[in-house]
Amino acid sequence: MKNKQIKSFLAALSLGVLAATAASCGAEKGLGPVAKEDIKIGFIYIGDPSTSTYDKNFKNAITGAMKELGLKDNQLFEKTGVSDSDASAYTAAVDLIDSKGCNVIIADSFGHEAHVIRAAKENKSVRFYHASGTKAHTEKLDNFSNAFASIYEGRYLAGVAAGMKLNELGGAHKLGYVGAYNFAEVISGYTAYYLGAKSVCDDVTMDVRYTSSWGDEVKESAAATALINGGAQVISQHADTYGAPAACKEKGVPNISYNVAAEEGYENTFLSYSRIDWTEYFKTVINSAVNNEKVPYDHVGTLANGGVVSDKIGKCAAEGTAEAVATAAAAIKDGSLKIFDTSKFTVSADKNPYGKFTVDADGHLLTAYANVDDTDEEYSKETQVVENGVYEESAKRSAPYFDLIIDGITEVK
Amino acid sequence: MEKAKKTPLLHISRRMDVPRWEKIVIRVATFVGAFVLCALICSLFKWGTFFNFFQDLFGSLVSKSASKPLRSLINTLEEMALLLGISLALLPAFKMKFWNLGAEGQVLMGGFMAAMLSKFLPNSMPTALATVIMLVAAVAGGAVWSLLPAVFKAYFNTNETLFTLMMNYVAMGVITCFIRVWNPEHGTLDSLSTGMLPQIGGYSYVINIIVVTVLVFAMYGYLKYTKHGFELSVVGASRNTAIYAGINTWSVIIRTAVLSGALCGLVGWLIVAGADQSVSSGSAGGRGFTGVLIAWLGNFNPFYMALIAFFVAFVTRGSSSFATEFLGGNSSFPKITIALFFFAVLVGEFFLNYKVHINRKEKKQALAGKEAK
Repeated sequence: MKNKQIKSFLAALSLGVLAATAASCGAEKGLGPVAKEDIKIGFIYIGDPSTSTYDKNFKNAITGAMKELGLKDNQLFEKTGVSDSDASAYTAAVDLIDSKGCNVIIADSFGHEAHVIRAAKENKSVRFYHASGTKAHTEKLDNFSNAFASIYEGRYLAGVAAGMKLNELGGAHKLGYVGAYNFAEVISGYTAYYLGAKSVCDDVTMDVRYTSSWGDEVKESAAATALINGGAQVISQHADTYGAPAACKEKGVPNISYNVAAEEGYENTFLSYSRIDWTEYFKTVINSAVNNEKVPYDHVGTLANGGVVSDKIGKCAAEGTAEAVATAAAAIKDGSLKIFDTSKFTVSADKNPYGKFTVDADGHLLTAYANVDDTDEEYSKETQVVENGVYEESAKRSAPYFDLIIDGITEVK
Repeated sequence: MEKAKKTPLLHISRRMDVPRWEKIVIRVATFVGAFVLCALICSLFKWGTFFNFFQDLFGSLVSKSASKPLRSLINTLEEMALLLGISLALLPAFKMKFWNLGAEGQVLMGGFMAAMLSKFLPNSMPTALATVIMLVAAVAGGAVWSLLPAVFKAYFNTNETLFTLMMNYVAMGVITCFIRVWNPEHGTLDSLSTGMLPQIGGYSYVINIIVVTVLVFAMYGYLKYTKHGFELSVVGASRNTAIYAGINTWSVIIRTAVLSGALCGLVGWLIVAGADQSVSSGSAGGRGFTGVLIAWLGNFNPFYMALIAFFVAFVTRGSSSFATEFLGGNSSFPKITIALFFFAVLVGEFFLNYKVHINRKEKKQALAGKEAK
C-alpha cells in the first residue's frame, strides 16, 4: 500500500518534470503596442484602499485615469495587502500576468521594488511601473520605470498658508511637524514646508517629532499634542492617519494635512493640505502602452504637470492666504521660484553629523552630496546635487533625497 | 416501575475498523465538500459566481504566459513546498509527542542566519561555497532555537508547548532589532548579495520544490525504517517504556527536537535564499502555524500531508485569483476560504474516526421494558 503511494507520487513528479522541460523552450517577445481595449492593468497595493489613505490616493488616480481615457472597469485587476518585506510582490505580479493576462503592472510601495524588478526581467513584454522606487535608472530595463512627485512644491504652498496664519496669530511664530521617520522623503517635505512659511514669516521656527511608523494614530496624536504643549501654533504631519488632525481639533490648533484633505469634521481647524495626484502619470502610462512609447526611467509629478496638488484653503486661514498661495504657485510653475534656493536657508554641521556638504561663511550650501544611487551597499552619498545656488531635489532621480536638517528646524528626540 | 434513565439524543462512539474504500470515499467527499463550501461563500459575496470560483481555482494552475507556461503551477507548488517543508520538520517531534509550536521562530532564525551571512561573506567567495555556508548556518540557527526548549524538556520536564511558542516572539524581536541597527530605513534587511538559489529552466523556486520533495521521502524513511524513528515513537508512546527498554530518552528528546528545528532552519534558508532574497520579522508568514495544522490533518503521514499542503496552496491561490477578479483584490478573502477548507477537513476527519448514533425513542422504550422485567 505504501509502495503504491510512493509510486504514484513519483509518477506525478516525473510527469511534472517532463512537462517543465518541454515547456521551457517558449520564446520571449519584447514590448509592442497594445490596443486600448486590450490593456489590462494589474495594480499591487501595499495596503487596502478601503482603509489606507495612501492606497486610496492611488486607487482614485488609476480609476480616474482609466475613466478619462475610456477604459472599462474590468480592465483593472487588483491585489491588495501585498507585503513589501517578502517575495509577495513578485508572485502577485506574475499571477496577474499569468492568470489575468495583465500587460501593465503598477506597484505602489517602496519595498515592492526588488521583487517587481525580478518580475520585469522575466516578462519582457509587460510594462512595469513602480511608485516611490529608486532603481529604474540604474537597472536600465526597457520595461521598468519609477515615478514620484515633487511633493515638496505642495508642501511649500501649504507652508505659505501656515506662515500667513503665524503672522495673524503673532507670538513666538512656531510650527510643529509630526513626521513618520527621519528619512529623506519626510525631511525634504518638512524643509519645503518650513521654507514656505519662512517666505512670509521670516522668524519662524519649527519643532519636529517622529513616530517611527507610517500609520499609528495614537503616536501621531500624542506627538501633535506634545508639539502643541511645546508652543507650536500650527501643526502639520507626514503620516497616514487622522491622529494629528484629531489632536489639533481637540486643542483648537490649525492643522495642515497630507494625501487627504482632513476637512470634513475638522472644519474649524483645517488650514490647508497637499497631495500627490497620480492621475496624469497613469494617463501617460496607459497612453505609452497604446502608442508603444517609452516612459522615462524616472517620472516626477510636479505642480506644473498636475502631479502635485494643494487646492484647498480652510476657513480658519488668515486673510490674504489664497492670494499669497496662488502667487507662490505661479512662481513655482514658471520656474522663477526655486524652493531649495541655497540663499534662503543655512545649514550647520552640528545638526548634521552624517551630512556631506560644504557651506560658505554665512552657512549657505556650496556643495552637498546625496545618496542618489541606492544600489551600493553602504548607501554612500556619491552625487553632488547643488547647482547654480539651488539644491536640485528630485532632479537626479524621482524619489526625494534632501536629508539635511536646516537651521530653524529642531528635531525633538 | 422504575423510571427510565434519561439518555441524550445523540451519542458518539469511536470507529475502529473503517474499510479502506470508505476512507477514500469520505476523504474525497471531504475535499469536494470543502471546495463547494468555498464556492458557496463566493456566491454569497458576489451573487452568481459559484462556477467562477472553480474556474479561478483550476485557472490558478494554468499560466497564460506563452514563454512561461508552467509558472502558475510552479508558484502553487512553491507555496505547497514551504508549508509541507515546515510540517515535515515538525513531524518527528510530533511523533515523539514533543509539541513543537516554535516552527515560526525556528524558520525565522534559519532565514536570518542565512541573510546575515550573505551580508558579511566576501563578494569574492564563490557562490556555491557561500550557498553551502549559508545553508549550514541556517540549519544551525533553527537547531539552536529548538535545542533550548528541548534541553529544558529533557532535564527539567518543562512544558515544551509554551517554551517553543515563546521562542517565536524572541526570534521576531531579535530580527526586528538587527534590522533597526543595520537597515533603519526599511523593514527588511538588504537584498542578499550572494547565495541566491538560481533559476532552473527559466523558473524560480524549482530548487525549493526539489529539496522538499526529497525531504518527503527522507522523512518517510527516517520514521519508518531507522532505529531513530523507532526510538522516538517509543518515547512518544511512553517515556517509562522507553526507559525500561534501555533507550536514553534524554538524548532521543534532544536529538529529535534539534532535528525538527534544523529542518525548520532549512526551510528558512529556502525562503530567504530561494524566494524572498531578504529577511524580515514576517518572513515565515504564519506558515510555522499552518504547518502544525497540516501535520495533524495529514495524520502524520508525509504523503497525505503533501496532499493537504497542496490543497492549502491550491485554495489560497485560487481564491486570491477569484478575489482579484471579483472582489477588488481583497487580501482577506483567501483567509476566509482557507478557514472553511480546514473546517471541512476537520469535519471529514471526525466522521472518519467517530460514529454518531441517534438514540431513537423506541429503543429507549425497549430498553426501559427490559429493565422493567
